[in-house]
Formats: sequence, C-alpha cells, structure tokens
Amino acid sequence: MTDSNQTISDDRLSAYLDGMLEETDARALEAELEKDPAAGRRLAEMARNDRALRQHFQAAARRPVPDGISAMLEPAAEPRSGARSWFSGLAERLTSWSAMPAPLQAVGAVAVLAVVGIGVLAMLGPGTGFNGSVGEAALVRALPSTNPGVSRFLDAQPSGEVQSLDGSARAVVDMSFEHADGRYCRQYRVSIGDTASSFAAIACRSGSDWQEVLMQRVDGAVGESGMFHAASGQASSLLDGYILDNADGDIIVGESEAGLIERNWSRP
Amino acid sequence: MNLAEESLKRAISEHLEPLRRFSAALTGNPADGDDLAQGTVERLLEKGVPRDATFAAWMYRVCRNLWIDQVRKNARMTTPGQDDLERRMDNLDGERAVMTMMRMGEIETAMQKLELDQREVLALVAIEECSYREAAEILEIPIGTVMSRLARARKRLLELS
Repeated sequence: MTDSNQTISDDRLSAYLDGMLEETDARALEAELEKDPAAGRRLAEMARNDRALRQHFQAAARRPVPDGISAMLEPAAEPRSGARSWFSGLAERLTSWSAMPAPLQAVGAVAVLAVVGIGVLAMLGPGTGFNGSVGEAALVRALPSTNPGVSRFLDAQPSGEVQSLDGSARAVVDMSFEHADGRYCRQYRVSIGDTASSFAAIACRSGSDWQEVLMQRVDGAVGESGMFHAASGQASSLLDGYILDNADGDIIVGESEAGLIERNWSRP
Repeated sequence: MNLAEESLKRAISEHLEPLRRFSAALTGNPADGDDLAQGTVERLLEKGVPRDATFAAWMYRVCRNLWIDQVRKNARMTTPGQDDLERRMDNLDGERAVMTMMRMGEIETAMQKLELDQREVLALVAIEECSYREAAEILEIPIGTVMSRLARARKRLLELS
C-alpha cells in the first residue's frame, strides 16, 4: 500500500507525468526527486504502466474490425447499374427532403448536388410560388455535370416512356426541346415509391454530358401511363418559365426525337 | 441515407481505432470493448452529433455514458460502496504477491480492478492522451477532480503491479 514515509505525493507525480505542473513546480519536484530515489522509482513505474496500458489497448483496437461494426459503417451501396444508383440515392434523399422544414430544403438540395451529382438550383416546396428572376448565367454557373446514370437515362429514353426501377422509383422524360443557345434540353421527372410528389428537372446537353439547369419539386407522382406531361401548373412554374424563355422552336417529338437519340444527340 | 449520415459514418470510421481502444480500456478487455464500441456506433448513428460538438469528445462521452449505463444494469459490476471498497483493497495485498509486473493479461485485470471513475479518467488521459481540460469536459467534472482521480488510479496501478 502507500508508503507512509512518502514525501512526494502521487498527485504531484501524476501531474508531473502529464506535464501539468507549472514550470517552477516542475523544477522544484525534479530537485526533490534527486534526493528521493523511491519517489523516482514510483514515477518511473507510473510512466511504465501508462505505456503498458497504451500499448495493450492499442493492440486491442487494431484487431480486425468486428462485422457488426463494419456493417453499420458501410457507405451507401455502390452503383450496380448507373440508372439504379441515382434512383436509389434519390429515393432516400427525397424522403428526407419531405420531412425537412422549408428553409432547410435548400441545404438538402446542395447535399444532393454534392452526393448524387445532380445539379440543383432551386428546390421549392409544393405550392410555393417562385417570384424571383433567375438569369441564365446564374443558372449555369451554379450547376455541375450530372452523373453518368442520369446521362445514360437522358441519352436513350424516349419522351413519355416511363422507366421503372425495382418497382418503387419511376422516371419519365416529359419533353425534349432545343435551347436558344443551340443545346438540346430535356425535361424529366422522377418519383419515388408512394410519395405524392416528384421532382422535375431540366437538363441540357453540353458536349457529351447532360447538365441540369433547374430542378423543382412538383405535385403528383410519375404515373404508369406514358402520356405526355407538360410541365405545368403552379408547382412547376419555374420550369415552365425556363422553357418559355429559352426554348427555340417547337418541342421535339416522335421521329425527330428518335432520330436525335439514334444519333446520340448530334445534329442531323 | 442522407448526407449527414454519410459524413457521420465517415467520421466514425476515422475515429474507430480510438473508440475501440477507449472501449477496451473502459471494459478492461477487447471483446467487451468491441461490444461497447458497437453500441456506441449505433447510438452515434441514431442520435447524431450536435453541430457545436467536437466529434472525438462527443464520441468518448457517448461511449462512456453507454458504458456507465451498462455497468449500472449489471448488478455484479456496480460501483462498490466504501465498505466493499475497503474489503477489496485488503484483498489486493494477496493478489499483489503474485503480480510482480503488469504483463498483458494482468493489465486487463488491473484495469478492471480500478474504480469506474478512475478507469475512465485513466483511459482518457493516459491511453487516449487527452488533456486534463478535454477529459474534464468529456466527463463533465472539474479539472481538479480529473487530477486527483488520475493520481488515485495511478497509485492503484502501482499497488497492483
């Protein structure tokens, strides 16, 4: 047990070991240790015990990570197919958006932008009016390229044909049009599961990639039928406005669109 | 999974080694430690981390609180009262005779013989190398208490080694 003749307290030795003594106190303790070999040995033993503890539990922590822990820390499933990956990711994110208070939806939108790679300029809740004016320059500057899954979908999907994935997510291209600046653009929608809302987006083809210019949450899910669905109504006013302002000529449908898909969106 | 969850998982993964080390030190053995670490990961994922919290400090705190909960639930591991403590201290003299140095298995035994409040402060400062201030914040106790508990813990280890 404790040495009753002990002159240097364990409190001081312990604090000295951790470098917690004031400079003058530390020098004073060192002077005392010179004359007290027993205390010196205690200090050395304390240091040795600390080192033994560190080494022992460090080794324990470096054993293989138990499956139970690694399973919990696995990142979101890697894409098995391009299309599936961005739909699956969106399913979860759309769900979380719905639960978010409106002011946070913009933050959620940025999260999607970063994680899914889908550009988002504006995420407006259903029924929210959009009163601001958004210039083209601002739109484009804010947006990154889409991910490969989105690009493949937009490359090949004819308008009006619903693409269904694992029974829960649906996507449809609503229309194709030519932008006044010469790019081909497509408006499309995605809905997830039983949610009563979906999001609509417009992407334009730049080089060999599609780039979202606008995205907005809209009322109503993507239905079974492949009927043409123009962006319309209050909820998608932002997209409507964009198309009205920027489309050059008629909507591209039928054989014209099939031809563009065939030629991989190069000009006739 | 949302972005917050992904970054949380990343943060936990980056701190997994300290978490497992700390958990093993608290429980006194690697197997129980990993159970505690797993429970901590679960709780972190479930409850998240406050925006203004330092991740590592929060993780240690969650882990420590979970451990205390578990200890309380487990009657045979409850903190001994003063009488019990003194009786155990007496018994240690016998044990000390056969423990000449802290070898690997004995480190765990010695750790398990420390009082819970000594163990946690020793784990944070001596093993995790937290400052007294950090340990005080994690355990929500004054710095002076960190110092005195630490000294008592080291003294006990000397007695046990």
